[in-house]
Amino acid sequence: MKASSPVKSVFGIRWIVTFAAVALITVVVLSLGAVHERNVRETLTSEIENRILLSARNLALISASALLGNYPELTLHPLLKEMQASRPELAVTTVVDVSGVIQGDTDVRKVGEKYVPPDGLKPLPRVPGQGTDELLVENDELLVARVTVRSSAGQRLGTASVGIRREYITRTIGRVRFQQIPILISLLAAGIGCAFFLMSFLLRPVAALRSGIERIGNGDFDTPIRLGDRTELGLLAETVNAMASQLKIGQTEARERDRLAHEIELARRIQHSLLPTGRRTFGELVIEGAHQAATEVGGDYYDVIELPGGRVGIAIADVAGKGLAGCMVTSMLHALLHTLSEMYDSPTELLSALDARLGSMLERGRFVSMFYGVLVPETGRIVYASAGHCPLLIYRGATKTVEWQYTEGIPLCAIRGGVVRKTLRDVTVEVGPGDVLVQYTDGINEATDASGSEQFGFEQIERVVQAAGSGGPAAVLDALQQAVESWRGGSSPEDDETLLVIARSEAQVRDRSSEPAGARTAGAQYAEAQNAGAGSAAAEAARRGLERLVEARQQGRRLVLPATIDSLGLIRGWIGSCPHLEDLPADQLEILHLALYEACANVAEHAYHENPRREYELWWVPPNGPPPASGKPGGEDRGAPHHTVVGEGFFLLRDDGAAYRADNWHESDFSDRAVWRRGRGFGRDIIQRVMDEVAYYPATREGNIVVMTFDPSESLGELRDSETRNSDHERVL
Amino acid sequence: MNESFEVSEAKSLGRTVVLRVRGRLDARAAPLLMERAAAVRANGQNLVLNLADVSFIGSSGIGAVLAVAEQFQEQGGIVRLTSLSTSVASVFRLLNLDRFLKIDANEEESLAAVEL
Repeated sequence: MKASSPVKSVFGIRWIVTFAAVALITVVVLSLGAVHERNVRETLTSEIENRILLSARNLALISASALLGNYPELTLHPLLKEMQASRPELAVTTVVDVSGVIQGDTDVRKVGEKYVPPDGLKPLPRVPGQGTDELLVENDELLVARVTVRSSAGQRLGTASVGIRREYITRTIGRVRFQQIPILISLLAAGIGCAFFLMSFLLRPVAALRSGIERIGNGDFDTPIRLGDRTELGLLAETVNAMASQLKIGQTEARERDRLAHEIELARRIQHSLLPTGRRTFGELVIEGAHQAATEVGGDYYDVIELPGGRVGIAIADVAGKGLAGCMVTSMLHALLHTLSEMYDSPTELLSALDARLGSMLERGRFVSMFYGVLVPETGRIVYASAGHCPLLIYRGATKTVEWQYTEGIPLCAIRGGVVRKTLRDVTVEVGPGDVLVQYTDGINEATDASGSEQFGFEQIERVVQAAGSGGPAAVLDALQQAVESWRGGSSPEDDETLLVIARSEAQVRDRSSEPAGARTAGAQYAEAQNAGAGSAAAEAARRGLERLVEARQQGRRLVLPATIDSLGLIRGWIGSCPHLEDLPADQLEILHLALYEACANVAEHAYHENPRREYELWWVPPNGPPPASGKPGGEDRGAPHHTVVGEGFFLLRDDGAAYRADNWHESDFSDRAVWRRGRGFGRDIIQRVMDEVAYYPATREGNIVVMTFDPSESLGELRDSETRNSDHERVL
Repeated sequence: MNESFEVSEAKSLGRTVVLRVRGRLDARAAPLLMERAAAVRANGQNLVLNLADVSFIGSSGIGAVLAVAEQFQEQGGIVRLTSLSTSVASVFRLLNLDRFLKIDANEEESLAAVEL
């Protein structure tokens, strides 16, 4: 079924104009006809009046002599007959004597009768040339001229009357009207023809104009409308052609704008993906950022980078100039920063290196203001340098006051040739408990109010931070964001607004303060990060490991090993010198040796990467009971089974190397062929099966500690069933 | 301390090769063992590993033995271990590997089992 769309009926202009022309011509012709008819009627009436008056005058002259004779009717009758024969339109031809008797008439029977004039005759206004004895009268049917008949001496003899029927006048006028009809029809036909032809000629360009406009509507702006018309339609075509050119330019520009908007959106996403999200926690220090992008792609950038040794790099930068170029510079900055941050410990050095590298890439006039700090979570100390960036605001938790820190650094690439370096210096800030450091980009302090006249300013930043500082980093961040948002009065930010807060929480500081002071290992932050949220449990575990170390130092036997695989050969001889171990049966000794070998190999490989200059300790702390009386090889009880229960001793490994995750180990299932294919990672299986318990205390202040409980009185031959060994170790394993 | 490690081909009988392993089978030696085993496997032969003279086997060595056994099995080949030294035997027992690996008392038994 075909769907019918409502079609609007179209009235052709040429037909409208033709009909209008026809109507106009008709009106004109009819009006002219009416005027003409009136004139004809008046002229004809006047003419007839004159003619009957003349006829009556002539009849009066002729009748004078007849009326003076004895038989006037004999003279008058033939005369009147002749008169009517020649003028059939005459209805009245009568001569009456002074006594009112009819003496002559076309109807001979009326002669001698008393003349009775027709009813209702009224005199007409006099016409030019009408004599005093002459009178024109009329009624509805007749028009009659009366002339007094006088003798040559002037004696009144009677009256001659000549009349005509009005019908004659009407008929005569009708005849004239009938003659006008062909003229009217001819004029109408000519008018229609002319109007139609003229309209067709004039309106012919309209079709071309219409198809041209339809073409433009379909997006063809390149084919102009060619009319060659010198009327207003030609001007209209030229206007439409000009409009098409403008539309084409507009369309091209719109496409370009769309493409650019798409590119900018992509750039914005890329830029946004470079920024860290959420809160980052490093020990008791918290770093949190917020970024509100401007409508246009801005050049703000901030980052939090984990550096070797547990340090944290914190950067916030603002690239001068927005748009795609600014966005690309932030991408370059991101890549350079991540590459260089591990190479330079000093923020000044790092910023100088960035200045040198960016300087070779950035166009003249483009520069970057940047704050970069290196945070050491253990000490709560941050060393920073600022290259022309906004001053650092510090809220001090202890005094609940704020302080500004200004530096003299100029922005990166502001002046080329290494000048920037001379203006930079490293500044150290102690982040105390409850302190909040606030860094930001100029989008914050330069945010304008709704009227666009006043900036948010540093004083307001200070006030907001002062008020919210005691609430911690999240409160400061929220308060600043809300304050700036309400300052803007709901309008979109004109520039990127970036905020970064670094804070040290008071609660976590208390945990830390309970730990013994002193140097901490490089892996301390790792352990803390792993144990975030359970800080006190981790501290408790670390304490147990340290207690075991103290015990080992007091009672144990030590072997110091270089971190190489070759040096593992020293273990076997050392075992032989240890109380309670030296006289283990050979197979058990072999197995124990293997377990210690694997434990030490782990340290050499993973903690020190087989660095021969690094050393670690292996301790054996024997059970509290006395060693068997005949422990020495070659003794009299050599080879005797050791069933005497003496309790558990323990091995302790201590290193200062990198901590490694011990909590993702799973016992190998040797019935699984995939485990066979893997062909490695069985060291832990050996250690777990040989030792009673294995506890791992990574990143204590004395380094990484592994405690392996071992009972030499238990027969290793009765292999510890792995299933019974999954005891409820509370430590990280 | 740096006890030498070597793998020697003792005999080749039919489709079976006997490799004798000597010394410390640790992380350094493991790749050599796997390399020699791979050569045998490439020839489509079965393997008998004589571990009588292995003075020490570490986890890497165990891993190598397991990987070799798995690789042969994947290709439909056979690996048998024979004449385990005390240390090797105790480690295998410790890890319950003696339940999964095919272990014989001597080379003859292994060869007989392979050629069966």
